[in-house]
Amino acid sequence: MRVGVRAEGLFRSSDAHFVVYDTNADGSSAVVQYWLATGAGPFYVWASGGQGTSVDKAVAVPKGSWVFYKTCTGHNTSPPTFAGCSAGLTDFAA
Amino acid sequence: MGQVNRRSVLLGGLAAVTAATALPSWANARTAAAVPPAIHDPFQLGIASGDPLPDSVVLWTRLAPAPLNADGFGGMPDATYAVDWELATDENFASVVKSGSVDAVRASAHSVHVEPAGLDPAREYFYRFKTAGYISPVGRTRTAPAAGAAVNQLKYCFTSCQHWEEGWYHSYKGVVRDDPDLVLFLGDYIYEKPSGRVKSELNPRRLAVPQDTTTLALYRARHGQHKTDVDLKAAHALAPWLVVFDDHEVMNNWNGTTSPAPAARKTAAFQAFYEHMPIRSTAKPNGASIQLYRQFLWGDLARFHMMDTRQFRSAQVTGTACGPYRDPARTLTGTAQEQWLLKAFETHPATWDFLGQQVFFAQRDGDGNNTTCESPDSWDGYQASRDRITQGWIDRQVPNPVVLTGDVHRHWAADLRKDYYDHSDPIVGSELVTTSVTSNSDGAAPPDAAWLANNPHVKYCKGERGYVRVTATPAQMLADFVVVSDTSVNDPAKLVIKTDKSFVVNAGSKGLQAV
Repeated sequence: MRVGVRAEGLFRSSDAHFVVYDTNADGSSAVVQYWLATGAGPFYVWASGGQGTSVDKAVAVPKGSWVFYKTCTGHNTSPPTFAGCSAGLTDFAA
Repeated sequence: MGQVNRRSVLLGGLAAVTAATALPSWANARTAAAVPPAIHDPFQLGIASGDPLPDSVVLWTRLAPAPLNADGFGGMPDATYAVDWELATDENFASVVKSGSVDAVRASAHSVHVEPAGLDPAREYFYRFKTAGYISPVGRTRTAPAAGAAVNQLKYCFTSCQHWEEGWYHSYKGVVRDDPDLVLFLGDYIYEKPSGRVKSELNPRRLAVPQDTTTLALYRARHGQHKTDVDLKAAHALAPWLVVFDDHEVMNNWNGTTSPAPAARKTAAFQAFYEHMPIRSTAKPNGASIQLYRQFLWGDLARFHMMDTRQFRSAQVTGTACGPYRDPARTLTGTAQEQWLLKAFETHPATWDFLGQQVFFAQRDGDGNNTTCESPDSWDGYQASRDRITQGWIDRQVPNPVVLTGDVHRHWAADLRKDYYDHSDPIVGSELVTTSVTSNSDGAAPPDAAWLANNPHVKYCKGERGYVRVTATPAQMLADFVVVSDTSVNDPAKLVIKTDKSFVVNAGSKGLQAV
């Protein structure tokens, strides 16, 4: 899932990992927001290393369960801020 | 809004493709109509029951393997799925007494409403659904006692107002622990918009599809996200519910006119509401019209009038001049519903007469000045309507009327009078107002001494989250106002759910007594 051409995130169903890519030197981080079947969310996977970097992170999505996620650009502040987000997508852990 | 990356789409679709190719070879030779596409576990929204009668109860589910999808279809293919259902007298389904199959169709967002008939009164049942190789969670429900049957106790919980973003639904942990016979929900099951609270840092979660719900797809997605809450699902699985809506199931402060909510928005909201609630087919919407008000009898102990105080109300007034507030031509209920209620008051089949509805019934007049009026969205804004119902209790000698209310995000308890400015006017009934499950009351100060002096019929106010537990017997009604210590944390170890205050009303004796 891509936001413009500045960030990309994908869910790897086989082992329930998110991979987040920062694809633009725009001063923003790339981040995936995701929601779980428990009603909790959003949780975040940040790629804050700058353009060309990525983060690969395991997330707690049980086998067969779903995860709804969006790819965004933003800043990992408290609270986080977002410059833009993609539409959401549901995927399932294999 | 970004584009969808092809690689992600392929990966996202991989599980579904794998599931489809796992079908036996002969299955692929069938038509799509004969074998709908394989799906992931569609029972993500749980199950529910509601509207119990002595011989029937509504069983509900909705197929939605991907309930947050913004298109509102919950991840279901455009196909019809046969859903089998079973009703048994035991939780292991060794004694199935009713069963059948219904079609879940895309036009109804694959929601399922079953109304098995011929059941025994006052009986506990268990139910479940099956489709596409998946079995739903098991729900427990019960039928109402027969009309006139002697009932020695009814325990029910009621609550309202559960903005998704403003907290965890811990109240339902308390409801499940209480193990009530019934659960009443008095409105604002969803909110049409994101939280606007000042203390937004306390919000522990966010809407996945945050747009204001202006379309059927968005209403469906909003309901779908709410139904993913584990505590809400547990409470629905525990007991039958009686549900009515308030304003936020459509939009803030809507009324019987087309402003602020036009007919198209009501149509979408009503359709999504019906699809997600365990209510009878008599409530299936017809465009911008829905038949929601209805009555339930619990043997000789309790009667519930479940009201619709939104769909037929006159537009809210503005300002503080009392003339419009008291205009007898204005109505909160609409004429037909008012006459339906007053007609019911002519019979007295039960000890307790509960009016389940949305907005504050008793007067709240901060300055005690009868030439200025306030709270135009509540019954204070429709005083002639309130007077007609109050007079109906008096003229028809309704035994033990008790109003049940939501909306205001604080617990309140009050006695009801015909004339609230006359502090010695006889008490004619009582009102129990539940606080919210989550919706905030940030910044609301408790009533001060001067306010209480002007409103001596108001006995209690508490600005915390929670619900009300009512235990009714032929002799007494006990109301426990339950509060939740913190809805911003999800750790049960940090949570306290306790009764803050209790009142009783003795049958045949008007007025709340503090316990």
